[in-house]
Amino acid sequence: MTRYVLSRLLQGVPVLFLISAIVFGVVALIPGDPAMVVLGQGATPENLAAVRERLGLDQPLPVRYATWLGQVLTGDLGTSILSRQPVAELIGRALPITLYLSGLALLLAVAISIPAGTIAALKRNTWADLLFTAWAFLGVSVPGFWLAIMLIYLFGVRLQWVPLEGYVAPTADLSASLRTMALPAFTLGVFLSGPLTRYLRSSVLETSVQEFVVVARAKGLAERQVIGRHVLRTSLLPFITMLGLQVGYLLGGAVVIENVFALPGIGDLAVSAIGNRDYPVIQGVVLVVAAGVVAANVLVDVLYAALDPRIRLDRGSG
Amino acid sequence: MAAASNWELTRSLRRQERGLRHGFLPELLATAGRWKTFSAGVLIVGLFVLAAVAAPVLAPFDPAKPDYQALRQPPSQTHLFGTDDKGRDIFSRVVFGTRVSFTIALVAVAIATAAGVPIGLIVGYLGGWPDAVVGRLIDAMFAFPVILLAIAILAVTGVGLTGAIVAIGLVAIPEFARIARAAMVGEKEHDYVLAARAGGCSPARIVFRQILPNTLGAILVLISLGFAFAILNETALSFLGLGAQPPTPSWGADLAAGRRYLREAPWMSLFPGLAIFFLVLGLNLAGDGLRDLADPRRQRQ
Repeated sequence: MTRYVLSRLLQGVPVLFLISAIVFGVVALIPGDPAMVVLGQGATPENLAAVRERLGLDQPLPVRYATWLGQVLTGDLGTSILSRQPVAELIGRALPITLYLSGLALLLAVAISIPAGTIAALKRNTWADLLFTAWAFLGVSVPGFWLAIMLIYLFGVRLQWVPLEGYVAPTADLSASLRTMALPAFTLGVFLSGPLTRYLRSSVLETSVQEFVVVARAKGLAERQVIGRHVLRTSLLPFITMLGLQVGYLLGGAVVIENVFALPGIGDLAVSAIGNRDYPVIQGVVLVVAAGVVAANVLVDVLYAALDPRIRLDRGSG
Repeated sequence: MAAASNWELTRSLRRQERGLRHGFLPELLATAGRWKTFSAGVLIVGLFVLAAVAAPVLAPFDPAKPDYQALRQPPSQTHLFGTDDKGRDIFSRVVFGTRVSFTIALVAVAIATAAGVPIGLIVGYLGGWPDAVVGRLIDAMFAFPVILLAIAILAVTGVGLTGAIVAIGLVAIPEFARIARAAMVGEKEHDYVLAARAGGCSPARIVFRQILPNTLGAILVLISLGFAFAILNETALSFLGLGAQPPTPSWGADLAAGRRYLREAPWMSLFPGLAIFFLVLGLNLAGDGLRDLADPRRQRQ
């Protein structure tokens, strides 16, 4: 097991390297002189040269990449051009809000898709299956930001059940906080429950024709036990992997949803950064999020191995 | 995965058998049943294509011309979808918005197909280290949430329509390459490939003349779903103010403008969003239906 975990962790390293190179490359491609951005229009050539030297821009690209990577590895993501605050600090403030939103949405999506996917598979080709299939289709076709606006109109403007926008930290007032998060989390959760429901449906369908299920039935187990203990438990394993793959999807969706609900998360940080041409912030946000996605995928694989002995015995030794 | 031509053949044979046994009408209904997801999707998308082509005929008003006598009017007989904060007819803007969305999605999908499909086919055929390198690169690209990566690319290209097209096209390349690679890996072990190789065909000829036609089914599904993906991302970027800029009639940008008047004029937000929703739904239905038709195993589930 330890060996499997270690090898899986090591596999993440080259991917992280590639990610850092992509992020660095994209920002290096940005036209215009960063020194000019720092100094503004009236800069003298001497000042520009001095700033370039201070920022290391006079060095060749590979050297700049190595220097930057070294800084990143020690937790230094640069300084925001606009607010002059360390990027790591800005992200540190915004990230918990995004994770809070994504966590609630994920919980909701799992709570919807596990019963929906199981029922759809077991009652295949009935109206219940059709209903959940339709739900899944709507979930992947509806633009999240539009659904969010429509929900704000219904529950905020018309019924006045929830505040229109704004953020309350859960540590300040948990119930008020959950009320402000209800609509954003629901919107994001619906979005995610579509593909998850469909995935679980086909996974349950595949499992339910396997021999061990036939055996379980043949030895006289109650249908409840056959489904709960044998079918669902086996089907949920690939479902967990699928959940891990959705983390990127979830964070991408959060970028747009945060904008609609004026939540000061990383999406909000990135969108306002591009408006202000604040490239270190964009660079930092994209890097941190992508690294987070890789970490989540590794975590899911490890979890999967812990739950399913076939995986770690099969791949861990190789 | 069965070869496309093979699939056509068995399908027509089966159809003939059944036609002989059950007569024309039941057969027609059965075929329609099998095709209904796909047909429903094509029908919806077809309506949007029609709207895009015939926009000047269908739209009763100039989509860009303000009318300060008719600000934020609710839907009526004159203004089917109401008017916006500048008195412009929302129905006309939605109709013309179809053109903008289609243009962006078409070019973006063309970029993703032109770059992603050949990469996927070639590394899938070659295997070995090129496959491993591109595979790792694709893994790395998948770690970036699409919208965030698009935002980073927009930092290079500059905010606006062109930037959005390039960004959406580029972020879709890994997915296109992945699917094309998978289709190639499933196809290259067939005997006809071996025969072509034994017959002395060059690798390029084998990949593009022999194997590519047999992976067209998978690639068509990909393009159809890629279109849905492109429309959703384009409207999201425009909604965030990073894509189409006002006064261009754009579903995403119009939604963002409508949000400010949600209390007084909810129809400003309702209709552009419905348009996005129905078009994406149509594309998803068409793509999914096509996939089921191309792979009979999925159908039986």
